[in-house]
Amino acid sequence: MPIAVPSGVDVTIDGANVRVKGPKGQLEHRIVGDVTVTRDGDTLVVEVRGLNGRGWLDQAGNFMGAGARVVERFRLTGKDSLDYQATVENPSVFSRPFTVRVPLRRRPADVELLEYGCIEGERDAVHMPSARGETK
Amino acid sequence: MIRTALVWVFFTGTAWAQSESRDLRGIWQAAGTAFQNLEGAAAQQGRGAAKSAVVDPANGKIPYRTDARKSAERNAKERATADPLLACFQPGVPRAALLPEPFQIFQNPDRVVIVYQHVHAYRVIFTDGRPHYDDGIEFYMGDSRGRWEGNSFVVDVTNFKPETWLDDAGNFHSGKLHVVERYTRTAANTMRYEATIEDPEVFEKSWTIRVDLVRLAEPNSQLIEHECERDAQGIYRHPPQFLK
Repeated sequence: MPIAVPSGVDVTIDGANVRVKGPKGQLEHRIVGDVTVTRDGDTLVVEVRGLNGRGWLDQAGNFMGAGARVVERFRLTGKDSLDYQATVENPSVFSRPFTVRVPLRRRPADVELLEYGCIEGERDAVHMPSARGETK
Repeated sequence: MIRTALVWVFFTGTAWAQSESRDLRGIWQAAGTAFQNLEGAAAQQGRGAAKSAVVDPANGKIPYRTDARKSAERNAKERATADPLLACFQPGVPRAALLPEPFQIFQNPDRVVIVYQHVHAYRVIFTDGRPHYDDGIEFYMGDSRGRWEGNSFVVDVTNFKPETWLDDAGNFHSGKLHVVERYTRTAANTMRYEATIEDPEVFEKSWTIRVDLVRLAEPNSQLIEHECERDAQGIYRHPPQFLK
């Protein structure tokens, strides 16, 4: 249900930041992403809301705006393989929802995640394969 | 009436100790102000008094080598520009556990995972006996390997980068830092956190801190996103709501 904004009160939404200013003062609230997880048969369904619109979809600059809704679907297709689909819905940017699909592969059990710390000067960027001219 | 209450407390306490003492899952946060200064400090403008978290040595002081103590004092004076945390570095260990922000513990049969709200820091702590990384491979959060000793989860942390600090006051370490953490449940929603710290380049001997952790028990508790954002000058800074 919409909330009626009284006269004299100004509400601005900038990405995830909501500012309310009126005669009694000013409030600011940051909305963070919200996630709902359900199960559809053998598929795990993750619905993501509250995105602030600052992230890109890929290195090519494809983007989505604030308020986008993403529904991810994870389904095991084998012992070590996973089918990943994401449906992106964002009427302010896209004429209709679209879906991407990517196969995911489980790495061997002895593989560990390594720390990737983006810090001053983005020093870790030089370690990215793309920065070294590698395609993989 | 009182006797009935005592019996109830006794039995519920026993049930918890037997069934949940090795269950660390949940969202936890450090109580107190150890994040400000591990050695404690008198109240000052903008900062409340901080009690020393150092339990060994008994005087509550970090056993610095003489030159290292001077470096810590210099860090304290230059904190506004020198604290790596303010520049959005990963917080390191044990600082990550002491921050006034929650973290969530997940447990699997072969690993314990700690996800910190603070700048998405995380640790995957394998408990399957695999060894540490070789010397020379360094991480801001160190390399953690865990094991159970009785009802304490003991984490051996090595392979540190030297850039992180131990608290807001400029207490610091080198790349030779070695931390042994002990997580011990003390009640349904409390846990004792101890960290023994040794670093022969900075400290004369090992020393230990002790801090209480409290579980955020509300059913809808969750970590929120704490991401550094670029300011008008293009410098990454913490959003103001996370600065304490």
